[in-house]
Amino acid sequence: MLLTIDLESEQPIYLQIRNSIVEGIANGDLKDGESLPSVRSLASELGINLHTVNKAYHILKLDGFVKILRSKGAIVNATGSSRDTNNFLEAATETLKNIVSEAVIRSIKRDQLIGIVNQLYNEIEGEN
Amino acid sequence: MNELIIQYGIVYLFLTGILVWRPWLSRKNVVFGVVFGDIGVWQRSEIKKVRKRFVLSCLGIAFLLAGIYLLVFITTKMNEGDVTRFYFATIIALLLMEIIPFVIANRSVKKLKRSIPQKNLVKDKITVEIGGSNDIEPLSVMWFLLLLVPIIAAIVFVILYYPQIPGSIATHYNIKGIADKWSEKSINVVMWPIFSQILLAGFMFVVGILTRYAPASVKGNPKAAPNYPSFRRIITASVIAIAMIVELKFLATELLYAGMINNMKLLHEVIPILVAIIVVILIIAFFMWTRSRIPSGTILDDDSKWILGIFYFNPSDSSIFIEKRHGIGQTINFGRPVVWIAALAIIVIAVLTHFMKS
Repeated sequence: MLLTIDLESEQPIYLQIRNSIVEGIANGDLKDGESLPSVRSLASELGINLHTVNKAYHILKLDGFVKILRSKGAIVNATGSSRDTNNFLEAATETLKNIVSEAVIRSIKRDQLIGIVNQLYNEIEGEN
Repeated sequence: MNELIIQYGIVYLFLTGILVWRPWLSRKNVVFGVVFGDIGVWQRSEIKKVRKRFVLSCLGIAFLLAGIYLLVFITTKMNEGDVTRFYFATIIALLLMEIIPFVIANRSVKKLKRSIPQKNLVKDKITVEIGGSNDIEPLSVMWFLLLLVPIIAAIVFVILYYPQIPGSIATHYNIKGIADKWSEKSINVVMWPIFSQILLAGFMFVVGILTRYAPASVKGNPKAAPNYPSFRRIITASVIAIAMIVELKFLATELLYAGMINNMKLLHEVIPILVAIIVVILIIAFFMWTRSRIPSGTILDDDSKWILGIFYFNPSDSSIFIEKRHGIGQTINFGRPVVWIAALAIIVIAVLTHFMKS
């Protein structure tokens, strides 16, 4: 898959890397067991600090999206995140609460927001 | 004496040729260290004009310095040593002065860039390919194990043949290959070439390992610098090959100590040929995998990271080595403190060994 980072964005680079890889796993661009580039290799390709890539991989590992194997480096772990479903739902509820609150203030209809969620599901799942 | 001057003249012409050739030794969308979004820029009339001015001023400087040299050579009666010393001073002056036309061309192209409409250039976005093919991976570290072969061979040889080595060993040879310094046989003297070999292999190993990951000087998307990992593997391989050649020379020294070979004459003739072959391979590979490749997609505009179009300075990039913006090979990231520390350490070691010798 193609990973694009925005060097001027307010979102930290490690989060951009993390989010792109999660999206790649979700839409099937990254298959289970596929190896990710080494930390050094990815850092030098992007022209960024080693620690930035390391941090992204570390968070992905904590979330269960990648496995770090001594022999093969970082490997996509598409099924490993299932055990954290409850934690994820809790965190997601928290994030959604912010979004829904703002939507209510802006008088955005319930159906409109649900429509966006459905559309995103279609986009990401559809490519599988 | 005249023969020497002719030899010097040939080397001087060769060097001038390379210096004049510089604009052609980069990716087609990089002009004097300034990056463009497409290779069409190479053919633009304003760029052609800058290139023409660069070539003429390079030739002008080279002729001027050669003229001064010949004038001094004819009017004064220099001995052979002075001729050589003055020659090297001229070469250094040539190399330093030839930076000026490049810097001037770099500034003109930067100025022109503002007036040329840009496509495909972005300031802030960079895309890389992850997963799937492992094409960006560098040459495996395993290849560096080759460096151990001559070292082990030399050690085994010394262990087996130490008793056969004569009591007095020629430890230094002049340029013509005739021994001019002898030492009494001892473990130290016999082991010295092996020690040098290990030091050299260690140094080349570190350089090779660090340059393995050197990224392309043009970034932005996987097609911004097509096929550069192939060229990078060739560079790493040539670092190993050069180290092997020097190691073989040390191995031959041990053979010489034991009287297995009489002189290094053959080796001294073969080494320049081997080095020339490596250089030719590098040049061919450069044109195949760098110069002739056409980039596509968005390209990162990072001119501000290339000081004068020559020196890479980017503190937020972990890379120590990076592909040269122009020319064949790699350069260092001056934005990393470790580079300055290493440079200082090398100077200190060079000065110390110089004083220890004298």
